[in-house]
Amino acid sequence: MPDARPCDEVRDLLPELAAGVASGDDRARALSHLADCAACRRELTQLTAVLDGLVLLAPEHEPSPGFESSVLAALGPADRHAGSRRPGRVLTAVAASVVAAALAGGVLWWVTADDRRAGDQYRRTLAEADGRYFVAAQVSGALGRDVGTVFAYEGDPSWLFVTIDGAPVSGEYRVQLVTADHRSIDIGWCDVSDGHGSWGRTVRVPVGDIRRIDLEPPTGATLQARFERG
Amino acid sequence: MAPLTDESLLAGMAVGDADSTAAFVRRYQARVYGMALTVVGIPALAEEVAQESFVKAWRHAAAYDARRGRVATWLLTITRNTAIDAIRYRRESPMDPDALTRVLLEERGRGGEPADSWETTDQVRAALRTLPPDQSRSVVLMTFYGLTARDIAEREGVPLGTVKSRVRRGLGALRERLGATDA
Repeated sequence: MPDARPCDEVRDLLPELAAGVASGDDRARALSHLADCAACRRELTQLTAVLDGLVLLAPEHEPSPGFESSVLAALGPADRHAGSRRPGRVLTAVAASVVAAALAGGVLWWVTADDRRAGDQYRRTLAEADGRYFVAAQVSGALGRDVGTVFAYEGDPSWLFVTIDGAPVSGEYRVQLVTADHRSIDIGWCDVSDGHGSWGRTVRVPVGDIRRIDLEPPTGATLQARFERG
Repeated sequence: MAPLTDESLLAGMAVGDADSTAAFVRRYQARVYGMALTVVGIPALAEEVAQESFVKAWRHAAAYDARRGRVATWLLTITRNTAIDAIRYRRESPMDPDALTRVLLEERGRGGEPADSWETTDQVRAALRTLPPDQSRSVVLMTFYGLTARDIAEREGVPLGTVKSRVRRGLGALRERLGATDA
C-alpha cells in the first residue's frame, strides 16, 4: 500500500529525480513512496524518457586531432581496474595508510582521556602530510544503523576515504557529495561486496563546505554520512 | 557488412576487446565531446571531461543494462554528469541557458535517429520549440546543468514554487507532444 505521503507531493519531486539532481533526502522520500505506487512509477518512467530525449539533442563537435588516441591510451591494454584507475588506487593506498595511522595512533584523539598525547599525534600526522585537519563522520543506513565511516582530509590535495562495513546491499554505490549550499555532486562509485567496501578520491570542494556524503545503492535506501558544522 | 551495434561494441569493450573499444570511441567521440563542450563551454576542459567520460563508460560497460535505455543516452548522461561535476569543482559559470536552448533547437543532420519512445530527435526538438521560454529555460537548466529547482530559483530570482511549476508544466507538455510511454 502506498505510504501516507500524497502522490501530488511526490510528483513535485519527480522531475528532479528523473534528471538525477534530487537531494538525498528528497530522493529517499520519493523512492519510499514509489516502491508502492505504480502510478507515480509510471510518471517517473515517462519523465525519464523525455529527459533522455533532451540529452540526445546535444550537438556534435569534433575534438582536436589526437583525442581518440589519448582516450585509447587512457583506457590502455591493462585491466580496467589497474589501468586508468592507478591514481585512484595510489590515493586509496595513501588514504588507507593515513587513516590507519590515525586509527592506530590517533584514534585516541577521539575517544580516550589522553587528549594531550592524542592531540600531539594528530598534529604530527597532519604536519607530515601538510594537512590542515582531518574529520570523520559515521555512515548511517536504514533506521540510523552505522554501516561505515567517511574520513575527510583538508590538505593539498584534500581527499575523502569511505569504509563500508555491514551494508545491507552489495553492488556499486553512487557516491554523492552534498555541499553546505545544498549542491549534490557525483564524485564516483564505491564497490560493496558482501556488505564491505572502501573507496577514496581527491576532492576540490573544501572539506569545511561538505555537509553530507550520500552513498546510493543499486536498490534500497541511500546511506548518509553527515558532517557536523563547527 | 553491417556495422556492429552500439550494444555489441559495448559488450566487446566490457571484455577488453581493443578493436571494439576503438570503434566505440570513434563512433561516439564527436557526441561525447559535443555534450561536454555544451555544458562546460571550454574546449580544453571539454576534452578532459570527454576523456573521463569514456573511461567511466569503459569501467562500467559490463554494468550497462539495455532495458534502462539506449547506449547513446547512457553515455551522454555519463558525460553530462561528468561535465556538471567539472564546472562545479572549478566554480565555472555554465553557458547562458537561452544560448544553449538555441543551440539545442538548431536543425542538424541527425534527424533520422530514434530517440527512445518516439521516432526522431527532430520530434524532440520540435516539441521543445513549442515551450514558452521560461519553461524551456528551467527544463534546460535542470537537464543540462544539473540544477535543482532551488538552484534555478536562486539563479533566476523567482520563487521556488514558480520554478517547480515551470519544470512540471514544461516536461508535461513535452511528454504530451512526444507521446512518451512507459514502454
